[in-house]
Amino acid sequence: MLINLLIISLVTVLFVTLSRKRVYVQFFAQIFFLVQVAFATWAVLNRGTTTLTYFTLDTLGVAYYVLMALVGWICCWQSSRYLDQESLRECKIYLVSLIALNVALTGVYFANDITVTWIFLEATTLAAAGLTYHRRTMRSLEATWKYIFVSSAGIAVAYLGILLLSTVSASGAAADLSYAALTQAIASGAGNPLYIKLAFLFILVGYSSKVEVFPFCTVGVDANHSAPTPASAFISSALVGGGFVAVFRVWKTMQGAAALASWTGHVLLLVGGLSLLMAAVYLGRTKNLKRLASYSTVENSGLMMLGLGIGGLGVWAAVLHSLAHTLIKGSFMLQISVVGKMYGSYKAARNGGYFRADPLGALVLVCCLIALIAMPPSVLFRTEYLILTGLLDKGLWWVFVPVALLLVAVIYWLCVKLLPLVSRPADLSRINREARNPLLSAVLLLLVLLTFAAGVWQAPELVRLVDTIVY
Amino acid sequence: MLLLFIIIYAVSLLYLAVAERFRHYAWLVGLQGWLLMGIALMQLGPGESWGAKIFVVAETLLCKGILVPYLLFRIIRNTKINRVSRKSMSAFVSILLSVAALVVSLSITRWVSDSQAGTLFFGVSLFGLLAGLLLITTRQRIFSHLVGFLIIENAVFLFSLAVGAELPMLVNIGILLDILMGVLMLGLFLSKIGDRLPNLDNEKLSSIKD
Repeated sequence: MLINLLIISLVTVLFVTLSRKRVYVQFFAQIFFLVQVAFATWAVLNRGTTTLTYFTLDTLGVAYYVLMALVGWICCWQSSRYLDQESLRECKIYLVSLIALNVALTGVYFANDITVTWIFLEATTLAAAGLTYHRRTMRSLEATWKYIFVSSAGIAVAYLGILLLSTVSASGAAADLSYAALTQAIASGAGNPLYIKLAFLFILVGYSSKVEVFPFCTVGVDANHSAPTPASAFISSALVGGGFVAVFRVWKTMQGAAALASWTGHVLLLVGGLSLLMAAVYLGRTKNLKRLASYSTVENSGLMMLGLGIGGLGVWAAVLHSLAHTLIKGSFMLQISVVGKMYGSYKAARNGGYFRADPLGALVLVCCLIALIAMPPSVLFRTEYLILTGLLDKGLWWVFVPVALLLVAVIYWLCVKLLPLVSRPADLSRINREARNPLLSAVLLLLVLLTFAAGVWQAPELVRLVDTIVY
Repeated sequence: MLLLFIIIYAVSLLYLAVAERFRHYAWLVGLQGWLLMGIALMQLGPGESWGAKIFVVAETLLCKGILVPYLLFRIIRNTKINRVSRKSMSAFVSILLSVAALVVSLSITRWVSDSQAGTLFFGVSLFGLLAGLLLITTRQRIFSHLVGFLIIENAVFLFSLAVGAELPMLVNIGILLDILMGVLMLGLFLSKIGDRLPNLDNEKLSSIKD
């Protein structure tokens, strides 16, 4: 089935490239995303299947794939409105890059071998670069160059980590570099522990530009800033999810050995804390709505790393946090794309009166804000509560105090910079009210309300889903 | 012979620290490609299949030894910039840092030495990684950063030889993809950045701010 999806992707790309009218280009792109939704349904029904040797439709991969299919389809829909002024050629390059990013992420989600994950993550760099360079301005060139350069250097470092991990395989304890074989081999004490520790460090640093955590998170922020906003929505939700899946799978292989589990925990706590620090500092400095949303991603990814670092219930919280964040951030960014289209600018300080101009859109923004700052009934309140209490339970009060303070700073900056956009009086005649998209806002509102429902009601299916991923 | 190749490789990394012309950078990257081909072929041994040998030669000689230096020379010709920026660190400080990186690499190698990875390969590839990072952080022109990335790629390739020839084919494919990424970056540099940034200073690429 996966090979069918690949063939359909190639055929769609061919049709998108050859079409001479915008309406056909958008039609074929929509067809691709609808096929993806159908494949997501098939993947849910066929969980556990291994296909083409290197891909397994496990619960973790399927959960993220379903979310990606959903967010991807909405992104494609909004893109057709957002890019209405672009030339046909630019539109084609954009949609082909978006489809390529989807295919690459499908590989990342389902790969059961560490090398295959790495190959597809490398491919995401190329596809995301196509989206980042869309505007062809000096600024987008800068963002694209930095993204390709830093991501590639990071990915090369991650590869060094994989090579270090392959010493476990070379020792004969693991037959290949599949996650299952590595988990078994590491749990049985195979390989040099120092090499495995270094491997985790290198892989985490290498993947940090994808999962948007310290140290390479800034290139992701710049890429989000330069890409068209619907593409930024996809990058900061599905691609960040892909990065999390990659880190989570590597982290999980090392949990069988107590010393390695402790080491990875400490590294993740450090990375998570530093990511939160970066997010809090830069959220205070930035004046751009897209960068604001991107730094919020850095904050949330930092919290996911903290959750993994704590272990136990923290891991459960981290996985749920990541799943919910994919939906919330996707919705937030997509609504911001409507704001940008209406105001012609993403300057937070310059715009206002959004509630009067687009009440439904403003409601989506406020709900997303509530969700992102983890106020009840947001599901992120539940996950952050678990992470913070997890820190106290482990006696890590020296981590808890700065993390809590940084979270307060994040909440403050997000509210101070977003709420005036909704409530500040402004001259509405300057606003392009034609750019409103009430249907999109209604769908986004539904998605955010879904995450609110997960925050107040502990649905057994959701608990089972996260349990299956974690344990 | 293998030892000689690795020593020449390490010396080329030291020379990078003092090289002041981009032409020398391109020559050194090319030389490393040829050295890596020699080392890889010696590591494979006579019992290895012809397919594996052809794959390695294609990876190292065609990509690293010929294509990459060719693209580097084309960039130098197109941009007409040949000297490392004067504002960059002096050659003396650079060589000091480079020697320090070598000492650090050898110390770490002694500390982590393991039978599964050749000690010499491990030490020199770690030195290559540090030398590449030094080039990226201490030089101002983007071209130097690009060369730094290529040096890191070469170090990763050398390390892949350190952990043994019995690695799965997927690992080799990964390395090839990494090389292609480097070639793509060179292409981007050649077609986009070189035209827009006449003096190739990284200061020009700092317009994105919060």
